[in-house]
Amino acid sequence: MTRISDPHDAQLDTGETARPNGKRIVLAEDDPFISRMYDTKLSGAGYAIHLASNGREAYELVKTVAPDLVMMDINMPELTGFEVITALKNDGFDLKKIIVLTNSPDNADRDKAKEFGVDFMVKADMTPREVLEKINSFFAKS
Amino acid sequence: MTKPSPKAKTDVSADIPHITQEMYKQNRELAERNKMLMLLRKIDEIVLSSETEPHAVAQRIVHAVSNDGDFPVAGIYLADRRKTKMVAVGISNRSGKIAEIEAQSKLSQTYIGLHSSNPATQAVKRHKVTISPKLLSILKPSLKPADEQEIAAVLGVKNYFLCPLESRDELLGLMIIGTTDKATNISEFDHTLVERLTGAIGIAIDNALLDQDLQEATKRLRTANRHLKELDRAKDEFISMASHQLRTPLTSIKGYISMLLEGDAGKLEDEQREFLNFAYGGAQRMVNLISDLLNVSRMSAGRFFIEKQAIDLTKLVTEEVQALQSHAADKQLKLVLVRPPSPLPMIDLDENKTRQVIMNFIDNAIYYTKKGSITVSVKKSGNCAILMVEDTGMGVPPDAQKKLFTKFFRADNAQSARPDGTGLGLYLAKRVIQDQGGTIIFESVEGEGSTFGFCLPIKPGANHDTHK
Repeated sequence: MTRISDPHDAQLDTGETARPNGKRIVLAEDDPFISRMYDTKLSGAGYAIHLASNGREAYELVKTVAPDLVMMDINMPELTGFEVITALKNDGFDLKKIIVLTNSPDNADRDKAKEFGVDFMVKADMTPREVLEKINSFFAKS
Repeated sequence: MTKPSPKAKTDVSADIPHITQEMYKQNRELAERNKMLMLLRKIDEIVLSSETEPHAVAQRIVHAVSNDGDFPVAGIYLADRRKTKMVAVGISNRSGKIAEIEAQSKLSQTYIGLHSSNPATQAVKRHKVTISPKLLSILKPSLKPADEQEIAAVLGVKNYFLCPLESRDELLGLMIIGTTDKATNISEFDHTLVERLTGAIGIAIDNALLDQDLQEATKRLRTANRHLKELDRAKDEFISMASHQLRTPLTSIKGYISMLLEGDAGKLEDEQREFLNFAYGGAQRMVNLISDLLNVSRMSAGRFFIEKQAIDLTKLVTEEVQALQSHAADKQLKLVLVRPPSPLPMIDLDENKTRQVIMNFIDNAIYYTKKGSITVSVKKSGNCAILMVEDTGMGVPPDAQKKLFTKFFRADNAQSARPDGTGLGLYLAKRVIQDQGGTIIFESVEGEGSTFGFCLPIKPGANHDTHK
């Protein structure tokens, strides 16, 4: 199940200043609460969020949407985040456009993200605003 | 025996029978002594062999006694715990003839009841080898009269040596050795031989039993140890699993509360904001608590590792001071940060763990200070980056100072001020700082205040990497 949320709707909900920057983000996250949380925050800031709730959807969505950024949860049904990343790497997708999301405080996920050369964040350590700041600085750099 | 001199030649013929007899006697004595030594050596070999199972040891001993001691049958009976009954554990005879083996096998199901009329009881009470012809009354009621007759007929046994097997003043069992001799014909040598054997075999059986006890105890200990290890692993796995599972809902809780606070769902009344701040603080404490638990379970599982990367310590401390500023303000405490006079170089640190240590020091200072201020300072001293958190709080009682950094320890005054503390924070802090080659700083005067901090080595050559 994929859903493309309209940034303007979200803007009305949140009352944030609209910054329709046109950047497309695929958010792959199986926990609906966390998914909606980031969706609300990032849509409110003007990003076009495309939601995937499992690894397979995430892979297909990246192929159809051609996003500017992928936020990829690791523990997902069907395919894990790293399996999707492996598949995307084989397709020639630019891995610099991927940020791995995990809730594991262990270093295993971080090390693996490093191996792939993709960025990394621990969900529990960051508030949605900090996540938004991280995304903003990602686009500011690129 | 001396060589006869030529002068005594005439007497020699008269002496021949005597000399022959003497030689014969000495020969026999030599053979007997040889037999005894050989048997004792065999018993020693059995004791020293790798076989320690008591039944097997008994079987080998009776085999040696009947064959090398030249006795028609020998058996060992071991006493039960209450020493009222002895059960056959090894029976042997010296030949391999079927009839003899069959007769001997009648004994293998027998036992000795140590009642007063039993000749075996007399032997046991006197602690001496005793001779008795009454096999039936010795093994009553486990031996049938017909079987006794068969044994007497086939094996030719007329008498039995009843040999109490003892060691360290304890009765272990009884050895029965059959002889074809009538009571009056039993040689002094055979008697001595059996006595000597009885002593050696008592020790051999004792060793085997001790070894069996030891092996059983070792086995029980191993099993218990394995169970404990499994339990410990299960506990660690549970903590680790629970901690991971708790983090996911906490991410939502913290995330949504922070969004409400940021006005993502509309403007908030002051009281709404205040309540949500309380909820957020609680969620944040829970995140830290889970972190502590996870780290302690990692330590006990040997999976606690420091992951270093170049860190700006001043920035880290500044962030933590900012994060806890409102917490300090709630208690009307001043939380002051004293920055280093000149910028600190980047230091190789485990960012998350060091951050948690700093947060823990400041959080503690806020908790245990009723009024006054908390001063957090960062500075460089030689090759050392020093962080200090000084408070004007309750301080640590002298008797608690030594134990303060041990797992789960909490000082009495801290316990009453904050009953929900875990006693893990400082324990983890010490480990995190020491594992990074640093030293914990701790000074306290009860009732006046405490200083907690650390000194972490700055790597030489890192100076060019100065941050802003």
